[in-house]
Amino acid sequence: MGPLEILWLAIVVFFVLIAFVRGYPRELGVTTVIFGALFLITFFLEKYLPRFINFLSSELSLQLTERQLQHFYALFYSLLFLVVVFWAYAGETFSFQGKEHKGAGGFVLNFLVGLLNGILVASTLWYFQVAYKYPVADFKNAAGQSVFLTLPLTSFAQSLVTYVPANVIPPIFWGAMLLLMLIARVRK
Amino acid sequence: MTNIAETAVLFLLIIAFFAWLGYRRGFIGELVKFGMILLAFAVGQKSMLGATVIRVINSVWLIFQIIINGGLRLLLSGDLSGDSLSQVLNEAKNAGPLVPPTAGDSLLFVLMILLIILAFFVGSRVKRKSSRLLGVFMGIVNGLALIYIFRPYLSGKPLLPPLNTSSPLAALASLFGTAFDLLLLPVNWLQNALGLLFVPVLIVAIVLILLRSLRS
Repeated sequence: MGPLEILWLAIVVFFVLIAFVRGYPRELGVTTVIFGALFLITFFLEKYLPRFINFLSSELSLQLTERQLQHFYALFYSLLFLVVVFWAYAGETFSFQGKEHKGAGGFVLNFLVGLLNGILVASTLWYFQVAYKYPVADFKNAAGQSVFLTLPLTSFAQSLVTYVPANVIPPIFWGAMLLLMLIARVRK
Repeated sequence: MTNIAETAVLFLLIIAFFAWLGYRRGFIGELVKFGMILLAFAVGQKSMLGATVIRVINSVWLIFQIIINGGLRLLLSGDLSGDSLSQVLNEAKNAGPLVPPTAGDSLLFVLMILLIILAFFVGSRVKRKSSRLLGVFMGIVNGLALIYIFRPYLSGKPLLPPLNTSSPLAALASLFGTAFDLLLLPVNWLQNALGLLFVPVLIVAIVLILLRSLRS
């Protein structure tokens, strides 16, 4: 395994551990917010932000290269996504009502929700790198070596990247999931 | 290596387990179970009831295709001319059988397994009191029947990968690895069946399981 998939796995494990501490009714609230963020970014922002940036750069006579724009989009979407996820955990959390299962059943459910949230967060951050041709690989030290990521990816990472949810699922799916979660939240 | 004595001990253990089940259930429950196991075996064999089952499934499928390809419309409009009917029939036939000849064996095997599970379920529902001694006998018969049914499926490729017994730690790691592979088996199956579509299907499944698990 290379550094990228190890980082991906570490984030997933981290979210699983958080889920064990917080319990799945609270974590489902985070899942809802993640669906919302994915819908917002992939359905709206990825479509309209480039138009706005084009308009802005022509109005301000900015000469931005394609690579600079790729750096900007990857960074902007990643930061926005992370802020939204952080917001889901901070303060008054958007938790689901209902009594939590205890014992082995509760353990499995906490593991499942942690796995889902972890995979969604880690894979979405990865997706922003894939979609904008790995801007993070451009950061090099004085010796010309990549600081964060060396391309090409390992064969395992290349097989993993084909299953990144935001890469294979159409944006409207996240809207449908958000709706499903909100209905379930209201109904309970 | 497995020698005759070890095989015999394993065989006796399996039979003892079925005898114990028979003792708990009683004769009538085991008799019902035996009847259903025989039915399951017959359904699992093409030469017995299997071919008929596939024929019935494909016939129902053909009728369904006739209905959705305009058969119902023709029936309601009263236009039962030869040309219209043959056109509908041709379109229905073009859809092909639901169970193609290549998939028949797998389907019959799954049906047989489902019927055997049903046999255990129905057998456990029989409440009528009956001889426990005869129940032991009938339980042994059921155990032998199941061994004979599954023997052809187990005698080829080993069911599980060989355990690495070079050290206790290696054996433990090998055991956990196999258990993990078995846990991931449904996911692998889903991936092979649906391709990349398995990602949203898995997400929806996990979310629905979690939502259903919230007790009010």
